[in-house]
Amino acid sequence: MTHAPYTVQDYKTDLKPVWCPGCGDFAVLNSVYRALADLKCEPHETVIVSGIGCSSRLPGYVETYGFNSLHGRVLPIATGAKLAAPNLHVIAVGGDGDGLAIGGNHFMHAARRNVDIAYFIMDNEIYGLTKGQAAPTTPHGDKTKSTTYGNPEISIDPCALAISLGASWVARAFAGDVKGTTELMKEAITHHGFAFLNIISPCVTWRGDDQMKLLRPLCRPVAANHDRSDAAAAMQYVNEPSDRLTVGVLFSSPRASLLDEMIDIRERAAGVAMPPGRGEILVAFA
Amino acid sequence: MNELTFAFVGAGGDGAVAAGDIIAGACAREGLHVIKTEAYGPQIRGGESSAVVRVSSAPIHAQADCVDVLVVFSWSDFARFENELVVAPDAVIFCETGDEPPPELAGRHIYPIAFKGAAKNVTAIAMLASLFGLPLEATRSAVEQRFARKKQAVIDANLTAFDLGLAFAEKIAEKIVVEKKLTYERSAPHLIMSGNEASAFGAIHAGCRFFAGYPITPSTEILQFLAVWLPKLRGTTLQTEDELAAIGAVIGASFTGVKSMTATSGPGLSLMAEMLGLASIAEIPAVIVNVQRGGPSTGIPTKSEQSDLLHSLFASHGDTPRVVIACSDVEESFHATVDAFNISEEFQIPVIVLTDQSIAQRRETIDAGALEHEVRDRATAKPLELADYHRYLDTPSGVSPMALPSTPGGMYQTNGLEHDSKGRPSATFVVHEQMNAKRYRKLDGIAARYPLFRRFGSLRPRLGVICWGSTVGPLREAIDRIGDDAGIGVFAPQLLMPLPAEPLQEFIDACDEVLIVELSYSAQFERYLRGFVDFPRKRTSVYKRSGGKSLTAAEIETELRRLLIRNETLEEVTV
Repeated sequence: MTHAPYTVQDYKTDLKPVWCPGCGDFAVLNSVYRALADLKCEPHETVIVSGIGCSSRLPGYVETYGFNSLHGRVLPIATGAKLAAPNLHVIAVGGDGDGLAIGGNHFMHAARRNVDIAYFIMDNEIYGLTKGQAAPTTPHGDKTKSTTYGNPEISIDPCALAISLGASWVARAFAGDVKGTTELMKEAITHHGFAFLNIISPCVTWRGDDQMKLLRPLCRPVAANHDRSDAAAAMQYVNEPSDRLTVGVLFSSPRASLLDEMIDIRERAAGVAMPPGRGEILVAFA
Repeated sequence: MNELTFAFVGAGGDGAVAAGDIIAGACAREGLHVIKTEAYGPQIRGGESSAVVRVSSAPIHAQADCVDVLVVFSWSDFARFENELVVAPDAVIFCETGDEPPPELAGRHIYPIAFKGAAKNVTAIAMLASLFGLPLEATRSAVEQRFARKKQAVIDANLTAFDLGLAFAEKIAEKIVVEKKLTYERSAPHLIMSGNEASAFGAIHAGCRFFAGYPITPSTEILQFLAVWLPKLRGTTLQTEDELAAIGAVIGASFTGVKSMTATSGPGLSLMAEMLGLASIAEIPAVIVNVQRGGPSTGIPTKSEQSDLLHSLFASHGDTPRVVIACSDVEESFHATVDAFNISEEFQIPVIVLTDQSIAQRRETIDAGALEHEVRDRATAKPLELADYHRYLDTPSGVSPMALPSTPGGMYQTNGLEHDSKGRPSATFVVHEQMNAKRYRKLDGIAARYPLFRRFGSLRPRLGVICWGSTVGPLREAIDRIGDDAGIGVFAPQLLMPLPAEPLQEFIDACDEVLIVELSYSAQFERYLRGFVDFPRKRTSVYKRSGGKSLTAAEIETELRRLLIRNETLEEVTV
């Protein structure tokens, strides 16, 4: 019954995406198909978890196990799934509002825990599904449906946040660059620990239909001699001026993952002994 | 006497709580029945503390009305507990020599003792054991066991303190009239554990291997217990950043097929409300133990109340089927938790175990043999069902085959969005109506398979009492005191959602008069019941009050007698 579906076609479902024509998320979805196919991820051993938002519809379009959950709660659910079933590839996806506003607290703790999942944010600098309100990534001063007189708040660079929170792998991609995004996704999925990939995925409806065209020429790779294990060096690529968009791995410093720690805890708790029977547990109450 | 209640009060370091634990442990080993409670001042560490131990040769269901033997290491600390510790008029009271008792206790049997010393609590225990008929040898070995891991010098000091206590007892025995002395026959040893420990052990027994939680009083002991034992069982305990993440991780873990649980108290359950709806619509098993405390908001974290009832029954927006099971004592905390897993796994539905501080944090004796309970597992999708797989297939029971990740051919997307039988998002009325019906249908199966309620007292009651959770214990004691002739019967549902409404209505219809007893200012239980059953007009009353102090057998007894006498008077008038 099982076969090795190593082509992009095998990962497609018959659901038609709800996204607007020209949305960056189509390109992200393509990159997901390619990354899974290239890595030969078994669909039944892959789980894609999302929150709520335009981009969080993605799991429905990929022929793996999927979980379209609650607004902001993608990371706790992905964490539970990975800890309970370590053999699975667990990929968390969602938007910038989902991950950084309502779900911001979980981002901090997933990063520092170094839970073994890949997390892709599709960053469009806006709330798309609710039709155009400011997000934590919307630049200061921008007019949106909820900031009629200009955004009074400064924006977050998700990569800066991830690096400072202890994520062990941090990268930035541009959705329009499918080849580059695919390669970064593959590295994220195979990374040991928490891998965070911020994908600039333009919203053509609420940020302007020229976004793809405008952003593409701004893309440039990280410097060839960039030391990706150096957090301070990585920080020179965050909060970039609007005329620059650096893509690639900004930071990578593998360390023991949450699963490693959990396995270590089990060994220290029980050693190589057989799991305790009920009598052994109840003796504490005798 | 076949029962006695001891209390110890002191400052941090006096060992009042340890004294209670040692006596409780020794008596449990003798086969006696014990309930032990603790209370603390607001300080994080080093404040005043008290322990109350009720010891009985017959089964007991609540803390006693008053204290028979009181040890006060310092009267200034006693003042903090004056409202909680009811001291019997004939109580025997021991205090430190030179520490002047408060004037309101003038005339009581107060005996100053030179406890002084590092192990004064052990001295006190030995003295009480000797004077009041507690098992001496078992008490001595409980002291040894308590300090077994300490240096020999510490063990020796405590045993010396123990012998000093025996000497005090011998000396004072001539001066003091011991009217109450425990008499009992030794029987098979009991286990002694708290409600929280029983819940955690129930989870392990049921096969729970994933726990995520956030520390919150008074449920934290469950997190701590499972932090010790789940790793040994090759499972996982995760302390999360908040309760949203705790229930989220539980749902994520359960989605992969691992039995999973979280534990919390009111404020945490409030945060979990949205996730409860996710588990319900996505039909993912999840067990939530909610240990109630005084509310709303931060309320009274260390005290009991039954005011999370309506929240547990109805929390989360939308039409959200869930199951709520109550427990009324430590042993039931075990069974309710196993039942919760059984129902949750079998019917793919979130289940809340509703307990409260007074059950969760008291230590109580139980028969080790009682900790057995049948375990049921989730039905996963079979090969035939995977051929054309519909995760949310509309079935007569409402339960659909669940494919677990790693199952080839079972791929589907689960969803907090309304979805069709394949899990695909759908915004149509027809699908929504069909899926609501499918999800709610599961409650019918649960009600039929798990008719969980208790019925005791008179079979043809003149006065029928309906109560739930921690009020059941004191009510049982109150009825025992009044006696069988009074014609009082009790109906206590353990399954609160779905409510066993039919047997409850039958019970109500057979009673002349109905009383509802609960620890909630706004009478949440009464309001809930009225949605399902009809009460006799003008012959239904509610005895309720705020939490912060558990209902006592004495106050329930008073209320029952008031109603009984009123009825007798009414009958006379009618005649």
